Amino acid sequence: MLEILGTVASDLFTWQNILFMNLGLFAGIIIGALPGLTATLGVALLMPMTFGMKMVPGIVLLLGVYCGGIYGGSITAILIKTPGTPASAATALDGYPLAQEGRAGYALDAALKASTFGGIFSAFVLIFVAPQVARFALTFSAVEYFALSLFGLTIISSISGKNQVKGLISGMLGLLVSCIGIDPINGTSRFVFRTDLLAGIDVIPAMIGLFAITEIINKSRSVFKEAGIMQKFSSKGIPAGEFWSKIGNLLRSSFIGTFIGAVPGTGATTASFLAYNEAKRVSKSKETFGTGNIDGLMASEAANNGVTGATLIPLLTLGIPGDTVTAILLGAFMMQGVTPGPLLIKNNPETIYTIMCSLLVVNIFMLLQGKFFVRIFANVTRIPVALLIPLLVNLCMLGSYAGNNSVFDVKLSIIFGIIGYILILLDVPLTPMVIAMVLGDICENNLRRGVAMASGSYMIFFKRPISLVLIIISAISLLYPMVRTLIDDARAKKNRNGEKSE
Amino acid sequence: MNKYTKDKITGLGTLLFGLAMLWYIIPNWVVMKTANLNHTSPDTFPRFASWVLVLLGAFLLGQAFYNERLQKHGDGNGQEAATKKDERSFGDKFKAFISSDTYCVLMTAFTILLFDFLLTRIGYIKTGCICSVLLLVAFRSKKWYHYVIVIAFTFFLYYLFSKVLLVKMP
Repeated sequence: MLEILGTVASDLFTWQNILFMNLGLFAGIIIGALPGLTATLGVALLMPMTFGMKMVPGIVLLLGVYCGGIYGGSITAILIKTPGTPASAATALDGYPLAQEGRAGYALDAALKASTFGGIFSAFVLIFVAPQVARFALTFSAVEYFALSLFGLTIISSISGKNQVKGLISGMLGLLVSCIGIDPINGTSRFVFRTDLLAGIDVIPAMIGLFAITEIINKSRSVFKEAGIMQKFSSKGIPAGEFWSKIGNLLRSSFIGTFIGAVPGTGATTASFLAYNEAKRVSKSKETFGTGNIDGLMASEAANNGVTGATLIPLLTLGIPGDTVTAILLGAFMMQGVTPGPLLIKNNPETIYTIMCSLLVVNIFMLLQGKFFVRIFANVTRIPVALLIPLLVNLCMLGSYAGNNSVFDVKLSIIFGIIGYILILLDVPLTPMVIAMVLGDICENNLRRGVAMASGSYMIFFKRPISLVLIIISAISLLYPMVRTLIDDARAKKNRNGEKSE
Repeated sequence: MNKYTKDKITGLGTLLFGLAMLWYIIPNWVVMKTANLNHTSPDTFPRFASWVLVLLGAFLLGQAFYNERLQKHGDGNGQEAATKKDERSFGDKFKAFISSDTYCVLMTAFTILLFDFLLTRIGYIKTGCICSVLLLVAFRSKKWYHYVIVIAFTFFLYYLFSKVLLVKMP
């Protein structure tokens, strides 16, 4: 192993590889930061460039775009509550309040370091235990996928705070939105009011609408109040001591990201919400989540970047692409004459370990480049609201369009923006709707597949151990915040009555 | 709008939406297959979500009425504050309106809708410039460089998306 790593190091540390890695990271961070453009699009856009390149520079370029793209989404999520990618939606929950407090530098720095930590963690898992993890992940069937997505959906309960009923309403609306389009099991249409809806509702315009347009409209209320007033601003990052005091949260979130990433077909968005939920669940200050708790932000970022290395596990060890990005990467590998799979590890370990180790190096360079970006981007919070709004309207409209080159997506984002604004006025939280839209699809499809596998019996979900454990945790996770709220209310009532009688 | 009014509107809206889904939208807009071999049908999940919406809506509505009643009881029969008659002239009212939050919200929402309307008709660059400048005018921005920045930003985005990211622009 050490001999192979020596060869890999000499292959990897050439000036061309370092250059292309950094170019990829730069492009990835910019693409990820632009609303509507995802890491997948970045990898697809830059893939043709690698055809004329040698294998290692080509692959490190694409890995740079991939990691940079996932991290880049957090920048706009924190600064303007517009997640650059769906995977950063959970980051906006606590990142944006921190930026509003004038601590944009702190939030961006924490997101960068957490992303790097998650990325390096998953790269180590990829290097040392990839085959074992891949074998375990492949034991997942529709039953386990359903249980996993159900567990993800229980986040709705914990992030709704005291607004449990309204949070559930928002979640149910999200589930209904996820049903729009062609039914994947029977192939019939559902709620297809016009042909543009045949493929369903894309999460990106919906998210731009719910998070960004809603926030733009909401923010416009402060135009005259804030005119000419410079917002509080600090570019100071997170102190090293504070960062390392969060090691438990980072390790847990990176583990969640790595595990979710290794399971084909789940993805960074699911991982970030699950990690956010877990961070909140174990936190002593649960009530501060959603108002600028750094643990929530770091959990989300460590998890979504933890996915980057893990998605390569089934790809490199078994030749199975787990999501769209890895499917594109598989194409790029094959164009370079590399066919991922068990035979590659056996016959050509240097190649596979070069790819694995390059991911580690990419994450280290991401930290260095990110430091540079943080200083520049943190200044966005100093822009006066009157100027910021026209810039954001422009960016969001174009971002909604660019994902699928569709004018209909622009309309969709506006509709979701208006719905979001009305819901905010009625104190209905929006995040449960986004979570349900992302997970609803996975949940429904796998529920129906599982039931079909068991010839109509729902008991199959309780007969398989992983599924059973996940369902039990889901039930606890769903009911605990509700019971807790009831207990707190009862205690408060008792105290009030006690004070009155005194 | 107080908390109870918000809860009542949300509850009633959810209840009506859930019922509309169950009785009108799902039967008309979910295409079913006659022979279903999958044990679950395309309307299983939407029906489940709609029923939950109906229940949650009814619960929220009932809870809002109950809590409001309790509150009124506690506050001594809920005395209502007398509403003051607005005696300002139309000009004063208009001036107050164009400096209000509502005006900014309406202008922003209008510009977003205008963006969508113009995008396919006159293309991105013109739409971006018109809408950005319109917003700055509406917000009464007096700094000339704000106008330069928004127009330059529109051109920068156009170049970035169309030339670098190869997005086919409208």
